[in-house]
Amino acid sequence: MAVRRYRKSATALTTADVGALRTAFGKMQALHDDRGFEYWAGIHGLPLPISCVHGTPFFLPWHRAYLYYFEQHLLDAASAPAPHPTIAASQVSLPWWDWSTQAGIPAAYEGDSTNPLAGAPVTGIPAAQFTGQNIPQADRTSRRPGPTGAGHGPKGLPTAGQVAGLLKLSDFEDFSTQLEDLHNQVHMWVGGTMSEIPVAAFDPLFWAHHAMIDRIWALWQLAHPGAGVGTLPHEHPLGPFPTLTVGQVLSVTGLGYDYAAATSSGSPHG
Amino acid sequence: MADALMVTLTCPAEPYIRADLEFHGVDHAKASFEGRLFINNATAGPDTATDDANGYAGSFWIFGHGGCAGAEGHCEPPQERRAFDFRPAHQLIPVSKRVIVTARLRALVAAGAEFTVRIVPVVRPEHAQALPVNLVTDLLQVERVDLLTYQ
Repeated sequence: MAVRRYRKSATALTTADVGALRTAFGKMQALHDDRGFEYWAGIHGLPLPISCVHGTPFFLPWHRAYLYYFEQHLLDAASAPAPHPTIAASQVSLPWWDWSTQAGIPAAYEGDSTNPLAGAPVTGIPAAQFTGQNIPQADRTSRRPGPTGAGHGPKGLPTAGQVAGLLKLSDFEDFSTQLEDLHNQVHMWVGGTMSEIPVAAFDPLFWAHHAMIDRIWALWQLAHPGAGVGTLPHEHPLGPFPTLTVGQVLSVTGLGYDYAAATSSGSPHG
Repeated sequence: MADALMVTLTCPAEPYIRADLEFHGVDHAKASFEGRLFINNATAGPDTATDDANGYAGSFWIFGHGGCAGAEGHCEPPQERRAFDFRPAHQLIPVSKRVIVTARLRALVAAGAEFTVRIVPVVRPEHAQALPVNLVTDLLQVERVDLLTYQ
């Protein structure tokens, strides 16, 4: 059996993990074809068509498929040869940002334009798709994060108590609806590029936020075995990801990854 | 900035183990916003404190479409779906939002009493300033509000 990737907390990455992740994102951002960051960020919103799914029970399966495809290209970039130094692809996975700690944006995702996790160019969108009636064009992502720490109510980030409450819900559609709302709150808390659907995925933090959403769904699945996905048909395709259906994304381990708060590995010896 | 909306509802009798406010036909075509809910507070606005004294009951968040990037008609959902149209549904069909308000309803409203819910759309000012004015005008569109309780 192939070794699974473990998606880690963005605040638990080693220096080597952060370096590998930044290199992989940087290499994806330098690619302007259908392997590159702008292509995959653009699938969520602009350039048209806007393909993301929100406000329906397909929200969680669609985004799991989206992250899966993005992560595959991140692995490709990580293991690609020159012009960048080759690094081990196995060292790279999409980290999750546990915003419920109230600590704000993880350090690995902050800094200036030399850090490919702190921001990215917003490219690949035809100028004609900024009509004056929609969000304004920007050359690069921006953030205007809200307050950190406890006690800010709806102006702050969702709390660990809110996440714990979600995990107790037993109906998939109920759970999905409530989780999507917390997801929306985080997008608006980050502010700037993350605030609006058409460009949100250009912010590298988008991928860590959605890994957290995907992780909460995975934790909910562990807590409610057999709960499934309500009335969603398993054979429903998750476009534009041609090899995945709802049924095929129900198991994270089936997709080759898992979430682990902590891992410890060793080599057996006699 | 969009105006707030208000709806009058009746609190059911006890016992109930969960109470939800469900908002149907919510438009999401423009800027992202928070729908902040206040019970029995007819003057609540974006600057009203979200505390018990002001009847704050919870929020829903709309992740907005950010306006239309296409030509005229691109962002208008069809009034009805043609037979044999197997394409995905239009992106801008209005959505429903559900906020669990069990504890707040019980604390603020007596069983059987009429009460109001004021829905206040909130866009962070620094975000609103960066957007065309049409994206933050008439932001809150809601067709119906239901109070659902479960025993």
